[in-house]
Amino acid sequence: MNNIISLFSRANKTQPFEHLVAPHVSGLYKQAYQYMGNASDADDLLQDVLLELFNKQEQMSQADNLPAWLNRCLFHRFVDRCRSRKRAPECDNIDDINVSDDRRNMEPEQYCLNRQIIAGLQNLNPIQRAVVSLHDIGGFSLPELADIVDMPLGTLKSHLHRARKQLKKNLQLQPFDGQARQSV
Amino acid sequence: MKCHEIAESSDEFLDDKLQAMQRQKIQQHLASCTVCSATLAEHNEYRKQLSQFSVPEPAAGYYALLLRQARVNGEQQKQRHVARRYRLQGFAAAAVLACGILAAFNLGQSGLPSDASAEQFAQQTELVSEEITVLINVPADMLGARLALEFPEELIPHGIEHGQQLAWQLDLKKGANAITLPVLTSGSFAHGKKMLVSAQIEYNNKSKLFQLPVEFFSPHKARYDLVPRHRAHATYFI
Repeated sequence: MNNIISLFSRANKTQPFEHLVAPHVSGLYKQAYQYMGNASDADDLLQDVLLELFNKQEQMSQADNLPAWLNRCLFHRFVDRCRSRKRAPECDNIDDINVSDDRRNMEPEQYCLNRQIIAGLQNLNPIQRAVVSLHDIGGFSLPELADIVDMPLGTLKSHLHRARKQLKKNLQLQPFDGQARQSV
Repeated sequence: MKCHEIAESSDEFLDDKLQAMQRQKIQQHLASCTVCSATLAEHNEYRKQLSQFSVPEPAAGYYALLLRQARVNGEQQKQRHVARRYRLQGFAAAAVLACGILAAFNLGQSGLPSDASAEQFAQQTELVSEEITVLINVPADMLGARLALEFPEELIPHGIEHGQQLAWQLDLKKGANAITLPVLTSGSFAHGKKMLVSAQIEYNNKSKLFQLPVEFFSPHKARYDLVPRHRAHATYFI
């Protein structure tokens, strides 16, 4: 009976758009930044997603796990964007990454670390980038991740394994430790 | 415990989320396996590096601005959608493209006098039977709609003795509806001459009148190559 009442009250209760999304918009921006690799593209992606969310307020208010549901929307929009570009933006040289706008907001060490990790992420395909970013940086569990990217757990683990292997290789190839750079 | 089991449990091991027994087994394996020890150390370093990653904070008020923009854009989008729906309501939208496919032209002959009637035209010239294809694209089913076509004097609907008008009831299905009609024509008018077919759709006590350009194609071009080419850019929405 309590469940019925709570379901009924939830169905009739509509929260304002900003009230629903505001607690999660920061997390969405960070995730979009990891996907796209720079603030400008992250901003574009997030604007698209927020407009989509505005039109899905009813579904959003009924989501059991709102952060995961929002990230699913973000993931799908990101994949759509990659498909529309025919091929995911890849980067062979970390100097090609457009993160110069972020330089002034960070310590040099932090900026350098970010560049290395973003370069590593950008060299992954969109699915691998999303999986490793959501799991290893975003902290989503594998079951949550399976829900977000809509994949069986086994497939997801394979993607995660391959993405980690590639990312580890990239990070080792481009040491970002300050002492290592000074010694070169 | 085997090496692949260590790899599968490395995250839980590093997060200290394993039961004591399981943890002890892994520790025993690590003590005797240098490969797994190195792999685990590498994984630990990888996690440490990623944990230090931070996204630069945007300017103050950025998130509030994004949300406000999304609301404003979303509301404008909804208003446009509602306005369009009301505009279409009643008789549904129809898009009509007339593609006259006239295969045999005599480009060298002179044009038909403008004051000649259809009957005179038919009597004075050698008529050729051709087909005209009318494409009607509607966003929803329109059952029992009435379509009236009024042809220019150069085109005579086949089977109509008097007048240039043709009207009948038909069921239009959602999407493109191709209606092919036989017409009589003559090669006596110049190729490229602009002609219009008037079309009127009546549905649900409302009607809409269109002027449809008729496009002519050279005989050497295949029909299947021509019709789709003109569908897209010559579509008219109510």
